[in-house]
Amino acid sequence: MNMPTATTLQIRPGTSFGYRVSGWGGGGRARVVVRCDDGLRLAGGLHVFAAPNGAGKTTLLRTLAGLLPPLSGEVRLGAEVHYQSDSLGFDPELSADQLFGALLTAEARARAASLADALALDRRCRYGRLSRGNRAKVSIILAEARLAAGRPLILLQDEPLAGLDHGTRRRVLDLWTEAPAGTTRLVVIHELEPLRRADSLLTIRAGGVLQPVGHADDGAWNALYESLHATP
Amino acid sequence: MNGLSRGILFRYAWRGLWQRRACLLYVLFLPVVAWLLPRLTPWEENPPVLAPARVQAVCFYLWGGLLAFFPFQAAVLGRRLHTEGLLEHWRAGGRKPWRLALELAAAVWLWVVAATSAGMLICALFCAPAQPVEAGLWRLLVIQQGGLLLLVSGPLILLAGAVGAAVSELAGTLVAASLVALGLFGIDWLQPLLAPGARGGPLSWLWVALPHYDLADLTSRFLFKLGPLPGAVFAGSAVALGLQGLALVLVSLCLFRAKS
Repeated sequence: MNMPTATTLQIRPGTSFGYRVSGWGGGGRARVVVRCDDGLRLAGGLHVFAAPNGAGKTTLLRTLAGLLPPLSGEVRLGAEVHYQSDSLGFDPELSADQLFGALLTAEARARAASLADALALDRRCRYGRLSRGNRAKVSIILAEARLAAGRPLILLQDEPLAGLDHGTRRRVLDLWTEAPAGTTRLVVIHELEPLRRADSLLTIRAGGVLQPVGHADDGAWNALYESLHATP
Repeated sequence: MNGLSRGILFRYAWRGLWQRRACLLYVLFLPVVAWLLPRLTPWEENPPVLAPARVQAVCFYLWGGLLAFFPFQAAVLGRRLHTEGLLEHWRAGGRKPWRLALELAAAVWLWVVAATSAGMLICALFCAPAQPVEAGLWRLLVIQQGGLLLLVSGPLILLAGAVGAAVSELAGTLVAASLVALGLFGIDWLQPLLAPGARGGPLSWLWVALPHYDLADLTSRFLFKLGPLPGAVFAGSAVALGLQGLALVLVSLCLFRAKS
């Protein structure tokens, strides 16, 4: 296999994702949640990952982030990972300004400040007092500000838009589509807007098979939308 | 540059500790304790005891901090970083777990350094004997006490933070506090049973493995004006405590969990 390019994310054919059952009777037995039979290669761009709750999106993302080992096969990452879990939080006593000051370089901090203004985030309010949506903004800004440093990144973001209002979601989507070339972004979402602007769509089919579903322009998107929003 | 500041966990944790003010208050309260506690005693009956009493209050306060306050701060910090998902976030970004653990401990240890420095300054400036030769020996003893305190505190803070991140705040605090209590007070009770000469074999090894923080407590030398430890004794104590600290660091790094 060729070495991955700068920000390529590659999953080798036959890679499976899941976890090992621990505790009495488990005996370290592997429980496969998601399989990638044909392999996958994601280069720069916005890649949206949509699937029903409990399908294994977070398990897959955690494995890609290196926090879980794949049960079989191999994952290759061509750049540093920025993993943003759906439960990522920060010190409730610190304001956004203080967080940016502690976490980011001067250049990235300036970018974060301008992004905060663009997203209407009160930078002086303590994180613990922010609403859910505003807390989500902090995580998003930290991810986007890092891109200002110019070094390629692979961003793995788990439901980053949860809690954001419609207008903010649109502005964040604009940021994503304007991201520097070479940025690879894989986003788990349940919202509809990103599906239309993504460079590729991924889902988990019945049986836990990870599968690309084609570009938003073709009929596959509608099928995915229907499948995700069908009443059980 | 990847957009993230250097020593990211240290900076983040230190900023949080500063914002909470608890550690700052602990340090600022030290002069108050040194001034107030001796005055709560009937010191007027024998005014010369006031200075040694101040030293005793400072040592008591610093060891008390090492017994409970600082391990609690480290354990809470470790747990918070775990529950916030930041340890996983940074681990996914390629940061080594040992580095994360050391940065976590360093953020708290810096406050131990501040408190110890303040305490030792009080001892050296306001409690030293008037006679110049005695004052010189006193200052040397102050330096020895400060050095030994810092030597034992680092690994303890690291252990509390590691257990806090891996298990819970309570577990992290209790583990470190138990070690300090055992090393300061329990060791005297166990000495007749375990010390070399009393019994041989495995019990002697257990004695060696136990924390010997009594070696780092020079309060009695201040109180009875015994002067500094002889060079060889001080070096022996520092090596013994250093080796025990190193073992504790290794255990802590093994216990530390950046992933869920």
